[in-house]
Amino acid sequence: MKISRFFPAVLIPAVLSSLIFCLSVNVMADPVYAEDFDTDLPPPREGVDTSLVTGMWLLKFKDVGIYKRYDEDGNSTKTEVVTTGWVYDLIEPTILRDDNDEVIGEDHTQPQALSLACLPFDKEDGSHSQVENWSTEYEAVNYYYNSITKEITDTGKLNVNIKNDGTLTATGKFKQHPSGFKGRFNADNLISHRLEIFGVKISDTADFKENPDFESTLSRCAGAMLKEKSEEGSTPVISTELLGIELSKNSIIVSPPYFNGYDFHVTTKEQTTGSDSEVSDYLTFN
Amino acid sequence: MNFMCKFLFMAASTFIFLSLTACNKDDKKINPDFNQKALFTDYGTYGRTIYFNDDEGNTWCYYDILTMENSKELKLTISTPIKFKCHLDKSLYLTTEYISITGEEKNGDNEFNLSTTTTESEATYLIYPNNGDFSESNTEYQNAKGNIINPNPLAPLITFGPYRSGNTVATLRIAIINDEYFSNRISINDYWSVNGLVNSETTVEEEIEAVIKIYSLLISLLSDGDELPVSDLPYTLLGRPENREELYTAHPYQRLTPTDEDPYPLTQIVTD
Repeated sequence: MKISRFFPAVLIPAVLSSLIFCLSVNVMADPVYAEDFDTDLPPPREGVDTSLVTGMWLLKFKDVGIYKRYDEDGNSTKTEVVTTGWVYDLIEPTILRDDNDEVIGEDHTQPQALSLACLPFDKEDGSHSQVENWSTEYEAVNYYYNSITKEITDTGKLNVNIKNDGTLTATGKFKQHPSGFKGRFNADNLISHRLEIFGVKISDTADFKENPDFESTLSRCAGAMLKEKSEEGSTPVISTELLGIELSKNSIIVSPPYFNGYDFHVTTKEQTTGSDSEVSDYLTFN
Repeated sequence: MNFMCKFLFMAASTFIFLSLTACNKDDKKINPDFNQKALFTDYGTYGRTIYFNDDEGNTWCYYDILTMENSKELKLTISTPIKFKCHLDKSLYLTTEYISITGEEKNGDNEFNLSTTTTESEATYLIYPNNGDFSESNTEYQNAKGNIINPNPLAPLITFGPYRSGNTVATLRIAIINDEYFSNRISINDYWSVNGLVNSETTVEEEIEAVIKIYSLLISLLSDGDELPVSDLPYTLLGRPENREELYTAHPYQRLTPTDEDPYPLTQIVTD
């Protein structure tokens, strides 16, 4: 009788607490591979200054892109590409220079726009309007220019919003842009895509090379993504791709990319005749 | 009553159908910059001459060739300008840029608007022989080929400028006037101008034109002396007339018959 009364009153909360503890430890400690990039990001790194937006951010993104390919007879083939990824990225301060163009300091109250250079569709969206004088939110409009008609055509925009708790959200919708044009016929052209980004601030220093918070081989924005490509009438193809890390033609991923907390690791190997050298790219916080 | 109901039902159905059709049409509105509707299909190689006056009042002429063999891409070719009148007494520089067509639109019955962009920096640069004589015995041509200068002195006049950045499209307008074809040029500048200042219209262009100015000075240094197949090249600044249309509508395109050896047959272009 004593045991039966003890069980619901004490044992169940204890077991549940243990389970919750185990789960939370798992979230924090287990490496996140590409298959799990839809997992929530860890919280902003402890100790970062959340009153400033400048610094390094860990971003999680999801992008749904629609490609279309036409043949000369007017038949079209649609391909959907869904990418989910984690990348390190920067929001840099404005660099202050003197009259001789020498760097004299940084102004963290005038942040630059979030760089999306490592995201898979960035090059296909062309450039965006100048973003100035923002503190916690901005809108960047992508466009192209017709040098003969002098017309500017907007092709999409990204809205970025940063809270004072060190988290970031951004959403974007984009249409076809000449930067991503592959060919009028028999080529997959990006017709539209929708982008969602979540981010957490992980360092106050907006620099990959000289950053007291971590050791790294990375020199620019980098990360990885899971890519699911579904062409109508064909079986979807799922692949893991690196972002911001150049691989030579003969290189392969030998140890898949993963994030562990705020850290990142991937090992690649260049397969050249006579020598198979492995290269590890990483970012490890102190 | 029954008839009335039927009538109302039919009227309502028709209204809904027409409304949906109208919405559908609107949804499928063709983007003039990106579409697959091939409208200009009179494919071929066309050549013309373009005349302009520099700021000192001198008249210059250059050859301009449009090659379009399908609705995916086209080639634009121009020659170095020649003082007073186009002729082939001396070998000429020719530069050709490969342009992608992204979409087409018809403007009225007689004008085709081709939206174009440059997807890759692909251009060829060659010497066209005097009198179209490619033979080994043409010593003037052989000497000119041996003295070809780099970088390409004509590059700024094709699509150099914001168009090169990949962030732009440019509209090539092919117009039919009195059964003859005319078109604009999609470069931001039209010709070399000895003393004229470029009439800038956008900040981006101003920046690019500053680059062109430096580039032109480099070319003028390179072309110092009499090593080039043409003399008196006015490589200083680039210019743009107030009315660009006047340049393009002065002479129509002539259909040419290219060969493998002579893909840009300047000799077939009848000059004034």
